[in-house]
Amino acid sequence: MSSSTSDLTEFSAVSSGSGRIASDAITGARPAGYAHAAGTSDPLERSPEPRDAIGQRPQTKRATASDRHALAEHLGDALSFGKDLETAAAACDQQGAAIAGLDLRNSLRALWKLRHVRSDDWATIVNKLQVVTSKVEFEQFTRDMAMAVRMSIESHLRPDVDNDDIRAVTLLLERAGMSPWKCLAPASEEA
Amino acid sequence: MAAKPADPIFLDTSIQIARKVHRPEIQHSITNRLRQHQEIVSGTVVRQEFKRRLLKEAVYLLKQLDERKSYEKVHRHVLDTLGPLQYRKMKICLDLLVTVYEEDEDEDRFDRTRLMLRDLIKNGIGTAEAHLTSINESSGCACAHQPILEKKPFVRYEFGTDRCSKVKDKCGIRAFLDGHRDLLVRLHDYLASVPDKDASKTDELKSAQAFIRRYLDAPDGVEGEDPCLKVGDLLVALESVGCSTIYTMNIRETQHLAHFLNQSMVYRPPNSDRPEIECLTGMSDWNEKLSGG
Repeated sequence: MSSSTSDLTEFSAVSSGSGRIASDAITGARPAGYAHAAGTSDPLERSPEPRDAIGQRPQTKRATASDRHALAEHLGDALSFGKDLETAAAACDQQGAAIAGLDLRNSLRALWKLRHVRSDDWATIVNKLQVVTSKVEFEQFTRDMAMAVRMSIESHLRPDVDNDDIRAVTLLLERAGMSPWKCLAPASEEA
Repeated sequence: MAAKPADPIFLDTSIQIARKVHRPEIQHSITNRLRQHQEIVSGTVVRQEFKRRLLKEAVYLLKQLDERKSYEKVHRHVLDTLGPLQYRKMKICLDLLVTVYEEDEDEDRFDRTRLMLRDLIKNGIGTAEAHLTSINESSGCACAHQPILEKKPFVRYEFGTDRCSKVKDKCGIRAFLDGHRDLLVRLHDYLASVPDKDASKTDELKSAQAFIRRYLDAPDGVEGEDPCLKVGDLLVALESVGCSTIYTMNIRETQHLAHFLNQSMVYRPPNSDRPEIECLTGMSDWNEKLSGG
């Protein structure tokens, strides 16, 4: 069950999609007869069901006050390490990026273990962040990639996240050049 | 001469699917290719195929997870049950079964997979199309506009119909084909000129040839043949008209259709060790290029 209090009340909100990374829309002439992609309608119809019936995982584990406290701490850590990673990436400080990245990875792992405290939508975002930060060399992280991760933590890991947050995080990460859908390849490659 | 960076590139279904579920090396390769183009285009029939080929398999896997309550059991089920006859289904299912950390326990993998599958169903189309600069909607494919409804999270989703015949009143395929009638006459002649015994003339191309013949002979009621379900490759090729380059992981049909449409074709092999192959307009023998000659 979601808590009604914010885990990150001290952090300023960053509007999704308005950041530098998200605003890199490509422009140019189109072949005749083509509609602009941005104008297409959402093919997924919004569910009319109330929020408490959607996006919530059947609770198999009861969230305790201790869990909530731990979650808030790990979330604060994750944001802090995300900022460190961004700073290091911007300064081309590979050693700093590697250290911050590994710390961030551990914080995200701890958040994943506490996913029962939050909704499925929240867990989906943590999973995405784990996907883009696993099996990577943080030394190679660009500033845009680090910024996308930091913005996702800062703005989209609130207790009341919904599908719009998931979509915003996906686009933020993809536009920074990462794939938040998966990180491990299938077992075998086709010839 | 290489295609100009500003030339529009058309993404077919195989590329749109690969951008979501293929191995990271392939995804990086695709991203790098797309960065060379100002105009990135796809179509509504591609969207319909994305729904049908990828998102329906995601629902299939969610149901399996709901029934078996275990990632490992579902993984085994896919390997054991979906044999060579359902190779494409098995491959997509295996691509969809994600593992983030080797040290994950079954419960973690179970949760990660179901969250990712639900996300893909709800946001896959929207995020795949958000990176396009335009979508060709001229096919009027009504099936592609059927909304996906989440009836019960992680379990039940409704996709609408795959059959043009069931949405005849809204289906615009007939008008789309009428608009390309002259082209279809020539395409039919081209396909007819390829001997049936030619190995590169696939069953899909033979079906497209037969479909065009029936359409030219009796255009009325063409929706009754469920074209976006049965001759999707043909419709996608028509959607790509106006783009100088088509980008694909499926050379079998595309090499003929792109060649006929005087388009360049960029082929992304599924093996990430292999570089992309550019078959340009004016190049005499694409087969030699595609076979590595």
